[in-house]
Amino acid sequence: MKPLQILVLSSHAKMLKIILRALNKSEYWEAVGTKNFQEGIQEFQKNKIDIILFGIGVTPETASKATSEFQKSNPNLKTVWHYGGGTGLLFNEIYTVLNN
Amino acid sequence: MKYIFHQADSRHYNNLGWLQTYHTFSFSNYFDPKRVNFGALRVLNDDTLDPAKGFGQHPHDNMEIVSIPLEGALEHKDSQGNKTVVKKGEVQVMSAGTGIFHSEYNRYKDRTSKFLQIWIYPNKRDVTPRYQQISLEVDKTRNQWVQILSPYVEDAGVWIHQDAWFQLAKLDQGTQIDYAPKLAMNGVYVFVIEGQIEVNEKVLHRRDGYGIWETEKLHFQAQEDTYILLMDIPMTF
Repeated sequence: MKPLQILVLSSHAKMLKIILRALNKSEYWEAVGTKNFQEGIQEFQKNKIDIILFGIGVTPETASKATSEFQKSNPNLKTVWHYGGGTGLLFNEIYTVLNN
Repeated sequence: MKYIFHQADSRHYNNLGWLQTYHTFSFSNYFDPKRVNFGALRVLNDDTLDPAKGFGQHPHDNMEIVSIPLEGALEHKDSQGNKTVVKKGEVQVMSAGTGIFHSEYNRYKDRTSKFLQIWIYPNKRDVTPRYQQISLEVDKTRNQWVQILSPYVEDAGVWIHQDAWFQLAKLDQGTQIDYAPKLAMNGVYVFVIEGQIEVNEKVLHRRDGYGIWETEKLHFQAQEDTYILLMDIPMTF
């Protein structure tokens, strides 16, 4: 089974690195990260992204813009806001979005 | 009135060797879609740390994190330069906001420390991180609510970025006490730290959790000497 492709948007480089490391420990997920929407667009053009996880520094306006833009090429795209930092809720957030 | 009951032994138990923990709600690798949150209350972990052991430095963001030691003490260090000890009879809060790194270790080398770790979703993302710690007056004021948390800087207890209020109470056997949610849209989650108590005719035992919403008043009657935590929480946020 092809791993789910996850894009993490976060302006906090250190936090982003930790989240990516945690997600990429799972054989079922492949995560890439960008620090802003513009870089996210480039990543989206390279890979078919299944889930976007919005982290630190992403405003609701940016999240809304990113969702509309990215859903043009993947109508099944799922989005989720990350809360809590680290791994406490991270896997739960992915499980929840998949469960829905 | 609507309610949800979480019996103590229905909580998810995780033993990491140095940490024994019971999760009321889904956390880390434990996921049960029926037990994710109670309104803005997302995490209620009942943690026991082995002597001198603890959580090494790790990150948090966008969460209001409340720690209430029940036994012993925790040694806290964070990326904002705070280096403190939070002990039984105190409460600690971190608004993680745009990011904070911290460690929490059992202060004692010869005994375990126990604490409740509670996470509340903030009402605003990316706030400036902050740390606060206060002493409580729970032992001095028996048989009444002691407010330990609110949304207001000037109010009693610590404050957080959410319309939530926490109360602790040590009640003597037979004591009756009422509570009205602060906001009509809030629910109340009661966690029995010790003892046995009747809440709106529902009997709760040690470490049971009981969430109630769409109610104007709750009535409590302690069936034993009881120590409870009440969390008045927005159901939508």
